[in-house]
Amino acid sequence: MTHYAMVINIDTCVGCNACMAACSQENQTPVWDPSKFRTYVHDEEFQKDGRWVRQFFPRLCNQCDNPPCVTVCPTGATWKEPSGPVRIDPDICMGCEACANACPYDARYPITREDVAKAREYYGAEFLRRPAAAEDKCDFCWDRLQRGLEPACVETCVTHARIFGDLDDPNSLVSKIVATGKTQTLLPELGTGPNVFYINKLPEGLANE
Amino acid sequence: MNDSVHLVVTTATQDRWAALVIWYLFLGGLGAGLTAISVLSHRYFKASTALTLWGVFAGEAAMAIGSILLLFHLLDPLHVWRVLVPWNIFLNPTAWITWGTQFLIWAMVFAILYVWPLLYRAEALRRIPGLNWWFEIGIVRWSAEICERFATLLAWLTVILSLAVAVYTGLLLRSFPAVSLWHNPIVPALFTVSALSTALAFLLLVQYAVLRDHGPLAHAYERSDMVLIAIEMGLIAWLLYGFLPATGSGRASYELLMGNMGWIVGFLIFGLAVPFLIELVGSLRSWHSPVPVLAAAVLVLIGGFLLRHYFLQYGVYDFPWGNASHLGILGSDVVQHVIR
Repeated sequence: MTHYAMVINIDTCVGCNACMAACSQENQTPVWDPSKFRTYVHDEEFQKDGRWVRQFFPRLCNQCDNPPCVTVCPTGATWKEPSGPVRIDPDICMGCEACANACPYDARYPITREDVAKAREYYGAEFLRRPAAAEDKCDFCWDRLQRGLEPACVETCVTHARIFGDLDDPNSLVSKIVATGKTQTLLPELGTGPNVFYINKLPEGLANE
Repeated sequence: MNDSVHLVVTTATQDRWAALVIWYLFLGGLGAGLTAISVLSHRYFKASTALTLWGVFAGEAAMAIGSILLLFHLLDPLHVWRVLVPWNIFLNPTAWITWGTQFLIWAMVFAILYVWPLLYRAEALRRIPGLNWWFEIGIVRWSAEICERFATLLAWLTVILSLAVAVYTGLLLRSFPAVSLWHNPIVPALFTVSALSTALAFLLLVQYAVLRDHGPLAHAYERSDMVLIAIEMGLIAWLLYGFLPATGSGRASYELLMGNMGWIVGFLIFGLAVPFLIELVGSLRSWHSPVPVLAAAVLVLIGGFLLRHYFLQYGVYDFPWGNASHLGILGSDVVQHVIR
């Protein structure tokens, strides 16, 4: 069984935002509204042990094992695939935004009718893949996965800060990294079971794989 | 640097669910309380036909207006039919909106069926020119007789489903795990008590200001409202001091609420304490004027709205990353950076 997961290596992210750009073009997100990206890279500055640190922090949907967004959906428009990604069917979604409120990771945003109209101009009517107003979120580029490709953000990342693979395959790099026990997830205390893992620095033996 | 990832925390209030949903939660609770109390009062406590019709139709209007407002909130209202069909409870049973929608629809249907014989026998309706013949149609008379025969069953269906609507408005908020102000067992009880309290206040307004008929039932409503407000104050205190201090999200909500004069003066003092005192004095020695009761009822209604307003406005998320609000992702009434 496949169990898709992503590891984010904070150490190598340089904050170039290429992942955001690749994602937005691949998934035709409403780029004219900065609050409507499927993935973000947060530019953080903080003091640690007496010195200032600048850190780039990528985030996206955590494709939870126990997704609260799915259980609150009253139309069945969002569901979890057996292989992991949590998806939305915009032709079913009525856009109540209960899922967005249920998500602790702020991974969902609304695509309004105005956004759809604008997308028709921006991406071209003949290329438009999202003709319905609905909630939207990252699904690990489901269409690309079906073609055997990695998510667009992973493929475009020049520093390999995003590592994608199958957690059920013990030989995959994500499995090896998670097996080190040095990764952590976001808000694990909520019991959502995230499938996006963060690591501060890859262990020596795995850095060159 | 050590091995763990350094998480910067941003605390941000939500702004997805705003005025339309606040009105929906308020009107839904008020309307459900009205149908439940009106039907129960008519069936078992000798409420007049006029008061029952006022209560039920105001309740129906409140629930209908609240639902229509919610349609404007939806991204694609045409898809709403999926939650309106009864079999949705088998397709999407994990969502409270699924159940709440069905509770609301059927509470409205059974409440109308309960008062249908009252309408059928209302002399005023029969005096309307051109309408009298309509009451003589066989199926109309038959339907009224059937509803009359099963009045007790219809009453209990209305009461149970209406109470379920009131509880649902709280359960809906409770199903969002990241917001401590919402995700706790107090909220469903609080919203239910508030719904019943606002409904009693509305019925007191009808009795004192519209029907000018305030007998023993009105006094029972006043005393019941006083008890409900006391319970509401206890639940609020339990929530503020028993649940919110446990998490960062909860502490932020607490600070926002207790730092807001609208919450303290508008809701806690004028929405709860003042009407409680007015009704307490009224129960110890009856007021000679209807003005204090009317004032208390208006304050309770405003308080019920403010409760939902501040609950939605100050639902706080604790995001484990920095600058969550710099792109306008969510509202940012409070932003604090804490190094874990």
